[in-house]
Amino acid sequence: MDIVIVAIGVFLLLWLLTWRLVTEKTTYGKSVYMDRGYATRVLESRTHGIRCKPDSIEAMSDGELALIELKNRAYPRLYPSDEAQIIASVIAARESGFDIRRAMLEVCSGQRLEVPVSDDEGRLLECIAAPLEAARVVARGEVPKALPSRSKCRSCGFLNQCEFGV
Amino acid sequence: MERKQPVSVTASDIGQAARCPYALYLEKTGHVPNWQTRLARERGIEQHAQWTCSREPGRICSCWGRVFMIIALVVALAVFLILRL
Repeated sequence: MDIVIVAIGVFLLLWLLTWRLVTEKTTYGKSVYMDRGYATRVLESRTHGIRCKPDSIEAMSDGELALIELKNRAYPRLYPSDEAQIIASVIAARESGFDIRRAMLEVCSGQRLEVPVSDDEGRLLECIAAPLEAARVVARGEVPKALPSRSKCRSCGFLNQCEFGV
Repeated sequence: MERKQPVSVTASDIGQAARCPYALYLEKTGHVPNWQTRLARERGIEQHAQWTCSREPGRICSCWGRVFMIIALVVALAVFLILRL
């Protein structure tokens, strides 16, 4: 009987130790929204025609809501495309009832990069005016203007099929 | 007079349009990106699933986590057998 108790004790101890080890989290705030796949609610701005499913919305320690966008890259670097996506998400999330005050980009290592977001919706729309219009052009089925550049074209997956590639 | 609703687009499409609208157009019209891009996207989806899982309280998501749990079970069984002998 003693053997069984000792074995169960050892197992529980090891289980607890490994559980602590492998479930260690790097979350900065409490999650209030998370993209878990198809069933996740789509946030939408009907006024501006923007839909999004941000990776996460967290309530930070100071009570402010922060929108988190995850990117599969090693180092925290913010590209204009990330900024446009995040700002568009903030506009949609705000109209869906989330009072977003901050926005961040998180990379694989868990490092986060703060993206400045204005409280003024007009300013945010100004920042994404060109890509928003371009995306609408594509949604209408029209051909948009290409923005070729050596650095972008080199890493573009459609380079072989693009007539404007450089 | 009723205000006309704008065409609805996703934030992800807006991000892609900021990089190159023509690449977005090619994608939406059924063109397939090269294998490097497809692989990167698959990895991105896997990593996203892993990231989401790691934020669920008390869930073991990593492969190593599961391996550790199995080791714990094996060690406990070994202790049980050694003590029985």
